[in-house]
Amino acid sequence: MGKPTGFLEIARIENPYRSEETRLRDFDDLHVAQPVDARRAQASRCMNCGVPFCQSDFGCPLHNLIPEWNDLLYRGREREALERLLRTAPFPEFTGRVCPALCEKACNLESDALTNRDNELYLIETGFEKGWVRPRIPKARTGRRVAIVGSGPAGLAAADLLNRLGHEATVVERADRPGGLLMYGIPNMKLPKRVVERRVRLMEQEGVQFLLNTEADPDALCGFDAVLLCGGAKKPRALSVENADAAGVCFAVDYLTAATRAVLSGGAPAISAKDRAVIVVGGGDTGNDCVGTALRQGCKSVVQLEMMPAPPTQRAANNPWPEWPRTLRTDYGQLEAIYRQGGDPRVYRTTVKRIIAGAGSAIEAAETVRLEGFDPVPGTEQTLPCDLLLIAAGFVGCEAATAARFDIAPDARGRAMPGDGSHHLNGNLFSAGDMRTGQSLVVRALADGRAAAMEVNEWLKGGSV
Amino acid sequence: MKTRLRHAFERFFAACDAACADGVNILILSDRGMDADRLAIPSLLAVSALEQHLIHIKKRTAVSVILESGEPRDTHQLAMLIAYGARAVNPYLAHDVIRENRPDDADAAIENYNRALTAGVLKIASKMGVSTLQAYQSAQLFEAVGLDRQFVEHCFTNTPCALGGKGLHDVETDSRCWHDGAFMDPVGAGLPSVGKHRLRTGPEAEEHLYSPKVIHLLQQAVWTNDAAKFDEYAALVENDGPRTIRASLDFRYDLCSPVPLEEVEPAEQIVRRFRTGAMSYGSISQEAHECMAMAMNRLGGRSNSGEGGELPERFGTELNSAIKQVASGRFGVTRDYLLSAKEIQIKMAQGAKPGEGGHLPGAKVTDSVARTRCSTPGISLISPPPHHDIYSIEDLAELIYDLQCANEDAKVTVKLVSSTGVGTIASGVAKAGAGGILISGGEGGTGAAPMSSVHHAGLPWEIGLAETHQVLCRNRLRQTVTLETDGKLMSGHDVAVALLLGAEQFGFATAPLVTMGCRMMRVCQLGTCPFGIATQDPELRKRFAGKPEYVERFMLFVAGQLRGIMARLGARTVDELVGRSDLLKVKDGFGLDLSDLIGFACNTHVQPESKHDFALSERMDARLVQDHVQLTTTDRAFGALLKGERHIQAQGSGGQSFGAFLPEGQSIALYGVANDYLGKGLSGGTLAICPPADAIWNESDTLIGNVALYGATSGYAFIAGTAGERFAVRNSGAWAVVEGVGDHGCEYMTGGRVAVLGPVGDNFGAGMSGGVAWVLDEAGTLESRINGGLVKVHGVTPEQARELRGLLEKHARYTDSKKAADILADFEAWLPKFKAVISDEYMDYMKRKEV
Repeated sequence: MGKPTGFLEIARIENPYRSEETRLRDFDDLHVAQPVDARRAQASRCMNCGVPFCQSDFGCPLHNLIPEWNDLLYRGREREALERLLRTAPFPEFTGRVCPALCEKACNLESDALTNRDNELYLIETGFEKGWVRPRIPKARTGRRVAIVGSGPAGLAAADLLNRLGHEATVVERADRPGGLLMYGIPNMKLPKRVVERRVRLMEQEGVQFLLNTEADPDALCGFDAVLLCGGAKKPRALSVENADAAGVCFAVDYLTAATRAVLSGGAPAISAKDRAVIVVGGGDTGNDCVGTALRQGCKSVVQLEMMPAPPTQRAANNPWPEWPRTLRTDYGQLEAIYRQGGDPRVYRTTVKRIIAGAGSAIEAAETVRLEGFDPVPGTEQTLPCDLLLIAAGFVGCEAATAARFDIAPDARGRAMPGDGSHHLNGNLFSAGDMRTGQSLVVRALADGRAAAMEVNEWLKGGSV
Repeated sequence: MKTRLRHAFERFFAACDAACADGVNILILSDRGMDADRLAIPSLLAVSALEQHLIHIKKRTAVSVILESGEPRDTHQLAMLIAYGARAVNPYLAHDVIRENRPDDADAAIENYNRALTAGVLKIASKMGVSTLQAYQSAQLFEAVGLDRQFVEHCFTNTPCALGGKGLHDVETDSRCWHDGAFMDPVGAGLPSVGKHRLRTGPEAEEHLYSPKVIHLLQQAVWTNDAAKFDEYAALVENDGPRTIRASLDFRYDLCSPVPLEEVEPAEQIVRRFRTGAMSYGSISQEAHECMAMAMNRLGGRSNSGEGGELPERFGTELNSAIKQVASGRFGVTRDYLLSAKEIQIKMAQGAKPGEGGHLPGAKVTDSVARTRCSTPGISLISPPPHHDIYSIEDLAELIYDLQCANEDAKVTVKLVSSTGVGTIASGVAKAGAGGILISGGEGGTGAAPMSSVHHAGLPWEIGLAETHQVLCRNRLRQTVTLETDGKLMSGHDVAVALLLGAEQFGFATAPLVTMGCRMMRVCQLGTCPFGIATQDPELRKRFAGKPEYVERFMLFVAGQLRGIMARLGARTVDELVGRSDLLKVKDGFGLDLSDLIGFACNTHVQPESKHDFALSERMDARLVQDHVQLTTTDRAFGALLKGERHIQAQGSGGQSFGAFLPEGQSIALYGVANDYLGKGLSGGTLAICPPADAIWNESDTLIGNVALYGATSGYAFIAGTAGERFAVRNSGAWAVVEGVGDHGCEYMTGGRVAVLGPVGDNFGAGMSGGVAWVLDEAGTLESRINGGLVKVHGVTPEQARELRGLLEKHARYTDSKKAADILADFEAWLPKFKAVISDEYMDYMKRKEV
């Protein structure tokens, strides 16, 4: 069980970022991997708790067997550790980079938690490097065919598991590259696209089929025994202010997609922040990604507006361990903005009141206002010059068009969620991921995709086809 | 179509019968033929059912059964197989797994595994009082829980089964489920992690009572004083947790007319019935130990010192534990310790590890712990499995009497462990004069207990409590004792069930620890508790964040919930509901047969006027004015009631427990003989026993009985003759001279000095971790007499020689011993014949001390 006194002797050390100076010059991976000794030392800190909160419902939605693979990693048995990890985690190379690590927030060592995410990433990357990760082709095929609509985290996780269960899994993707938000939502520096492509290639070798540039259509999918909708919660929350349709106002996802396309294909992005004054509306992870991307594209300036007050630096009394800490986090993009601009780009309790458009109805400035709760405070208006306004205000549910095509009625929050809490919508139709649960985390989408796959499997086994 | 298990048995028996008819006398059962299509009969079921079949056809002694199976892998499984009929077991799959994992030294590794299994099986047998494997074979020393009675009768004939449940059909379903899982695991490499010991969460995991959510809600409820959150916690435990017996019970509100809540006795009064569990200082930190004492004293409930003694400076303060435990180790059981108690609890066994002793590793024995336990810092402490002064119910009665004499005002209670048949033992305890009985359940904590005990030993308190209450009622003994229960009581619901089954006092241990910050790390035995509870490490102790208020709130919340249930049951007082198990019913949908436990209405509880009267005021020592006295063997525990400084000269026969717990400032010289337990728990006083001047006396004649100086902590004992067996067992500080001892001398001794001026019996110094025994080895046979597990024979160092000489001079002075006079007359000449018996650990300690 790890090293009994490891947590007393060794301090938590996270994978460091590359320096702002170097990383702002490219869109490459942010992190610097640490050598094996450091990883084993970090793993030795795991206390192998009798009640491990890290892998409980407070922590990892995949219920990763964290104490087990930490112990194996500490003992230098990386290959076995990786096997333990892969038992529950479909794509550690994704979660090892983008997961907010609920497990670490629920670790019994609290602020001094294990570096599970870094350990996970080390194990999977070592696995790829050493050739331990090889296609696992199912021994027997069931002859059942399942179509998975959408190739985001939920779709990939479901396809992966359905394929392992012996079913023929076909992923239908509208875009030119598979991965959904993993491909075009998350910037390359956070999740390099070669990592997504590597996984898709592996899945193809294992037997999963990908239909790209294909809009899913119920009629075209009639040959499948089951259809699993993993279309995400793609409908962005819009700004309802004057001139919201001005040129230079766009949704964060469109902006980030264009940026990633440019990184992958070369050439200038369709929407660029270069030499422009940028305002990002929304203080979440996507907003931060916009800040980081804008800085890399060479923006003139960047400001990030957040409606809520700045969170406390320590847990508040009503937000105890092991709950998700609602505390101030300064992410890579914000750190880069501080480095470049000399100050935190975030402005709290503030929103856009009006967009001021100029010639050709292009945005020229944005009028902001302070908020008290959700109410604007008169007299606090301020006009900020702005050439590019990015809306990263979250998502409000699945695409209406997709829902209509499959003849399903999303609930009030835009979710295609069956009333009984299951994944089974009707007939041979199932849903999973953000499309079912509403906007969430990659890791939750993975867990939901796997749960849906098990449900589809049971349903197929039940012979109800 | 797959064959049903029932039919498989028919074929299996027919095959065995045919083999027997052919004259075969060894049957080998094997499951090697199992594959994706064919299931094996579960190995234990096959072995036991065949055993019963062979008995039935009168072939049992003509045939031996050998099992070759992939199933058995741990000690419990092996023990079950042997106890139900297997003569040999080949756990081939376990061996294959070892071979696969350790290709380079497979044979050695398998040998280690086999040795560990064998030792484990013997340990399990020894816990049941069986010392050879042959005697354990087919002994069936197990109890079934939740198996259908007919199924048990058929396949495990005569195995006690207090509650019915699953049968052959369910076993078959389980087997198929496991089989299919094994052959069709899609998810990935490796076995599922079900989290039997260390919790796992997820679709493949087993549930635990203390889940992360339960721990979190309980802590938040008591930390923020939030009763609503506590209710949420309790509902989670009752409805969503694993199915304990209590969670499958509900109350017959339909039979009762409710009373207004205001008329129910207040929570502040109810909590006086609550206690915290016996957790010793040493196993837990001073901070945690004191925190619980403070909380319970403030509430008027009682905390329990556990078996590790208590620092004397806590006596008489808010930090004093009202219950002082006396266990087999007798650590820190001094006269002052006993006098500081409102209740003295004799621990016969521990719910979580019945039949086992304890082992406090040397690293946990800090200076302070050592002082509290009257032992030596850094030296491991072993609690023997049995009390060496209790081998029968009469011996227990004697200890109850001795302790009652040592503290007339305290209630003496006895802690027993839940099992079928405990009612009989409890009756004996009640007749022996105990003031109370605790029935402890097997779900109780101790993160430090051996894994096989945690999971397989001990039974739910519901079984033992219901039986004890019913048996005591039927024998008209129930009103003479209070009845208490403990073992994972977590909420008002749990307490109400215990109350209706017959308990009137209630113990909590894990829950108070959780309120003080415990998050069930299950590293109690390592001393690395990150919450400063189960540790003595000063750095980790700083992390302790518990407060007495948290424990108090927990108790009040539980009492509050109990009041709500009482009001709905129409009861204004707790007493009205004791033993009303007619007000319990099994919840719908729970396939449990609890007809032995519930449905009885015997509302009897303790009545002060019915308590046992020891008539202590009539004792010789209670009314002794002069300093000379004539004793007979009925004068038991003589000396215990002497007050102030006294020096008594006695004649005649000292009864049992002569001079028990005698404190400093008192001495008794007896010219005569004494029975067993002389100087039990000697606490600073001086005892001298010598033959009467006019006796015809031979040096080797026995002067005192067995088990002298058991658990002595300080003082002197001089015996000018030979003692019986088990002399100075668990002595931790007394200095004694004796002129010969029987077997097992100085067993488990941890301190003090013993000089034996004559022959010693076998097994001398077994488990002796501390202290020094000097033996005059005139015949040169000492080496063959000692148990070399911990001790070695050394020469006597000059420093020791000075101590020995001083001790012999005292002996000569007190007893006029001729032997001592002879030796002292030419000490240097005699010295080389003396040998010192010392453990390596203690040898190191003495060297350190010299430096």
